[in-house]
Amino acid sequence: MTIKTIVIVILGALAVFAQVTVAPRFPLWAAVPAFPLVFLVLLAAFGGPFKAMVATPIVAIALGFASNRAPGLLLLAYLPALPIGLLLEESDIPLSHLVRTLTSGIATGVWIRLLLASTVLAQAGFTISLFTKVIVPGIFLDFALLAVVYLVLSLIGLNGRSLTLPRGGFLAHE
Amino acid sequence: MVIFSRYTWWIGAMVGLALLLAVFGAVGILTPFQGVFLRVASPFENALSAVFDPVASFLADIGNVNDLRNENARLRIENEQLQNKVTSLQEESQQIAELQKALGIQQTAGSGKKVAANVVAHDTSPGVDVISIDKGSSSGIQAGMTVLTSGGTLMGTVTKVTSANAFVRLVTDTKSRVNARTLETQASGVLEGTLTRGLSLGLSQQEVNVGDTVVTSGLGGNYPPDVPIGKVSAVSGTPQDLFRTISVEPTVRLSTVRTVLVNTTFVPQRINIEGS
Repeated sequence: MTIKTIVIVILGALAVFAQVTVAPRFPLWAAVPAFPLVFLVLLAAFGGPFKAMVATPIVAIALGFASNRAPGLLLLAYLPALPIGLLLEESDIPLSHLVRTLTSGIATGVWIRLLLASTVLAQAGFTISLFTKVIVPGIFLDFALLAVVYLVLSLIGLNGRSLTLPRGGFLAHE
Repeated sequence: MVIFSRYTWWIGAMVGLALLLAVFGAVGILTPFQGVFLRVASPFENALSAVFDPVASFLADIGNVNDLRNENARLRIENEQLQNKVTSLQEESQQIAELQKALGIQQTAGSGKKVAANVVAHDTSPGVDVISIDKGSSSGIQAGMTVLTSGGTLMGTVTKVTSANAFVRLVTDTKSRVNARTLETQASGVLEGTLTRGLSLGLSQQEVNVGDTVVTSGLGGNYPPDVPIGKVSAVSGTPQDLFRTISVEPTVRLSTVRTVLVNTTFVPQRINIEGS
């Protein structure tokens, strides 16, 4: 296990634990920061797609255990981050690495909150407050967190990577 | 395109894994793994909470300096009034205890053994308000038991227990239903959590006023009676309205509570309506 892998494992664990301990302390209306999302999106953006592909189910299961939510549901919630990033990369729209990362993170954040809210809408009812107090503040939180951490990672010298899977089998990611 | 790329196998595998996890979760295969995970994670979660609690409190206080000043002044007056009330209640309580003793009445419900536990995690997904605590079945905690703040305010119900941890659904969770009544007007209804982690008292047809104290009614047997919950913060509509909105503000900010009490004596009653 390399130092880099150990650092990623520690950061992933921190993201999961922070989601159930730190995030509830910093709510913006009814939205809270999504640390595992930020971790997975930036892992894909700076560590490459393979690491994010491995980390996504592990993070979802760990978060499911920590929060007593269905791990399968959380896996489906975090699943779109990589495909959205790749779609943006392969599209004809000229977007920088930063914009692609922010867009995929924010879009996945909206999807996560809608999916998780949909499981309780039968009890809570579909209200405008879902958008005004959960989705919109969530977009702001995701944007702010992703942008700040992206900036820090760029300043410490990490380079953004492509989300296209390299050819040559499973070991071709390095 | 993504659908034709080598991401396809990964997406398919992840959807398959999600379905497998759903099946495993439904039959309880994951519970032992979750227990081990929680046992390992608890110290780290406690450490993170301990580091960020002062930061969060500090940031929250900065934004509310004026509110805190006003609240402090109001609480000083309220404290004096309550001190006087406590004195008279102590006298009445003594009289009641003597009368109960004389009549052979045993006290139930709110009294009883309570287990103190620390909050180690808090899930605040939209509409969900669940905490996990560092005491479980090894401390005598069972699903269905009621959880209170250290001051005695109702927090929620234990929904799942492992040997060393338990999950508590707070009253502000959208799946939470508490039969409640107001002390002042005896208006009863069902207290439900809202999507934005608030509380609303539904199905109440009697008069309700802002400031009324809301307590559990004990109906249905899921909660002991007379446990304080909060105060009515807003009322819209009249008692004749079919869908009157009554907002209730919990007495304490549930998200900031770090220590809770689990009432291990109270066991929820399952009433057989058929009577057989």
